[in-house]
Amino acid sequence: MHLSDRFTSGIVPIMAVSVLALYIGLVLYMAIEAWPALIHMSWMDIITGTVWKPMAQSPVLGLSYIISASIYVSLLSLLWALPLGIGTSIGLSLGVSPRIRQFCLSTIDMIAGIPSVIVGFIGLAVVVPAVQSMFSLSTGESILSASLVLAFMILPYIVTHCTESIETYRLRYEETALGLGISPWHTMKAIVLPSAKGSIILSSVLAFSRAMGETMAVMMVVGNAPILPSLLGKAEPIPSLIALEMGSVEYNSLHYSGLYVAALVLLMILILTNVLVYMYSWKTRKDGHHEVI
Amino acid sequence: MKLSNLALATWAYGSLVLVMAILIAACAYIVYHGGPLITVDFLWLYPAGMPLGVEGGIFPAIIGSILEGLLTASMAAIVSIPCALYMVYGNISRWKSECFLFTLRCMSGLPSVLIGLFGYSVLILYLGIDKSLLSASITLTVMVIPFITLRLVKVFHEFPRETYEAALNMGLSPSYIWMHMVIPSAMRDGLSAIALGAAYAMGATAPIMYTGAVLYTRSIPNITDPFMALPYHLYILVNEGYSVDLAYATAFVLMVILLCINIICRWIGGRS
Amino acid sequence: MSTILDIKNIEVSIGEHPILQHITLPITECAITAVIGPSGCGKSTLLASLNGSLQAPKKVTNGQIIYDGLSVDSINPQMLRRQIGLIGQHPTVFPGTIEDNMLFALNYYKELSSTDRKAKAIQCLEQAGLYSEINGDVKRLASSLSGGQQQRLCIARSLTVDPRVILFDEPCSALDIKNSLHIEALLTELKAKQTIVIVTHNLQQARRIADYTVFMNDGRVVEWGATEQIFSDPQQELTRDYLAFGG
Repeated sequence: MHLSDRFTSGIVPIMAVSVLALYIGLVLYMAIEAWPALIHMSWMDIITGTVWKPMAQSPVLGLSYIISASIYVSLLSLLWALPLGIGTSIGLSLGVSPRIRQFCLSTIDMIAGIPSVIVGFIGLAVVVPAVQSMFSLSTGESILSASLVLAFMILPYIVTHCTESIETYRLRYEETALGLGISPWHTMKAIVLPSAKGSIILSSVLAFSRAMGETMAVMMVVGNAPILPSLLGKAEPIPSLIALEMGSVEYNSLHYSGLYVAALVLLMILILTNVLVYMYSWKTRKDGHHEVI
Repeated sequence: MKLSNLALATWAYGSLVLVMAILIAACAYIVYHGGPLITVDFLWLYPAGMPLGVEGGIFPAIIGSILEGLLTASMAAIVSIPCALYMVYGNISRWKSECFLFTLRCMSGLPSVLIGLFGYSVLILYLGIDKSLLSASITLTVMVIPFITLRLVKVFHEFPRETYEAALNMGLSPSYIWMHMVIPSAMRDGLSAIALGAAYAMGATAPIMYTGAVLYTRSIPNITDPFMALPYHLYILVNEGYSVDLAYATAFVLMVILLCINIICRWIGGRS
Repeated sequence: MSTILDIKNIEVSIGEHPILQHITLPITECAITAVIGPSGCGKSTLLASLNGSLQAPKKVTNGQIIYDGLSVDSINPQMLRRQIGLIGQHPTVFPGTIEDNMLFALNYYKELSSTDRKAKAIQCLEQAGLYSEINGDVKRLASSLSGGQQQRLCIARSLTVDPRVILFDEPCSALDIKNSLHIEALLTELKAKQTIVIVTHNLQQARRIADYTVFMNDGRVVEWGATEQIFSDPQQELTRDYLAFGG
């Protein structure tokens, strides 16, 4: 056996296992760093508490406004993006020639590569003033603006995934349906969409988890005030809180630990949604269906 | 056409047109506002004015972002290539491979701010490394490893299994086959996967905010120096309200660099 | 003639479920042994177990295979595969030119000087009757060859590492009759130096080239012996039925 073989065959599993260890370590690290805050206040108090005063003599780490701001913005962005995204997928699947479909999909793919700081900048320059004048607000920085910007960020993701699953089912049923004299649009409505429902829901779940974690774009237009979130008012979602405060925390303070509790919430949502998707795709694979996600 | 089908078609075409229009308008907006502001000076000068950044150029930020991308890509490649090879050719059990895939898929969606927090705590606070190009790139590497590895797994899967086995059946070692057959034939798609990862890293702001990016540097950064990066520079220009014009121009430069990488990679990937 | 591979009562299973049972079979050196039987009877699995290339979850769970006086488990798998080559159903040319294909393994072993490697490559191509067919143009892309030529390139390529045994898993099933005959002729030449085991579903092919024939059914060896004896005077009812109807 050559020496170089020995080197390569040794390094390959070592690298793979260390990657696995790195990410498991990352999750554990976050849990460990969050621990002091979870001892200081209980889970329940943190989740339901409304006051975020991490620098006080006895820090108060209430995350409820912050978590609900995150959920509010993300759900609202899904409300904008889902109908548009699914509609676009149907349009791409049925309404245009394969060449145009390919062109649109690659354009969308490319635009998904625009960094969120640029999207946030556009939001600040376009969306915020528009919201401000439309509702005659003192500032347009609000949940509404953030959700619109966020919808832009998750649209490419939704369109790519939905088109993929809709195409899978369309190609599977189209020939048979056409043979029976059913129009493509009716096939889409009666057969394809109901079959693709599961995977569309799953891609919305994944899009939701992406939206929860989106940092820069939201942070630049949401106003960042940890108050009770309302549609036209400022708010401070979890990623903004972490990004704004992590630079100034004292290492190993309760404030520091409190940020990790917020991080842990995001991490839990991420893992939960992924487990959900994994279980679904496992089930469909076992049922002998083609894997769609 | 029945009425309900007509409604469906209207919805589909309507959203398709609207979505494409919004997406393209956003790009056009940056090009329209930023494009005309690009001058040779802007690309080649250091930031100037008071506060720094309201005048002058973004030369160190362009160089900083490119160095950051290169460093991240090379570190991620060193980790991701063996990892992907192991997942495809390591003869691992079904259970183990599901475990790897799940972890990587899950972590490819990890919010960038969490990566930033993790990198800042471990590298800067715990290990006491100075904020630098290196610490920022390590943080970004953690972010792009799942992204790159998942794509490389796909690329390596495309190499025919029978050919690999035929080579094994001549008594050749797996690593020789990887180095001399699998990797060379995966070179083009593999490099494009790594470059896309680099582009992803170069656009990220949150992970580098506290791990290495700074407002101003006097020279081209060393690997152990803090550095300027385009997305962070843009964020500061916008957030501090220094200069909207320069923000448009900076956004334009960043967008053009990333779109170029994306287009080239997709073009290369599409040809094979 | 001596026995080069002695299969002693092996059993191969997936988990608890055996797919090969009680296989006992001596493989004679410098002869062609054909393995015939219905699809799914375990012919290919048997071949794979001979050079240690069984894919998990398949595993040898009982018995042993003796190669050159040693159990194959105790031989370094790479050394074993170098000496016992396996060629599959579909031609599997490596990326690159014909020369790249021929030099790939030689460059790994580095046992010959670079000029000797090229000479060896040409000699193996000649042996497979390919060198004159391509007019000595070894810089051609291997994928530009026809299917039959590709398969012969694979055989020539495996000859570069000087295997003592070559296992063939239905090498002609993807080829037309002309190319099959070409390969059959090649195998008959090869047996002067190499031992050949060939799995085939083509009974005529087995009859034409094999010295010994093994009939397998349902994971067991039903009958084996000299080819003429198996075909003209099978002892088992199953063999008789298969020869009459199965092929």
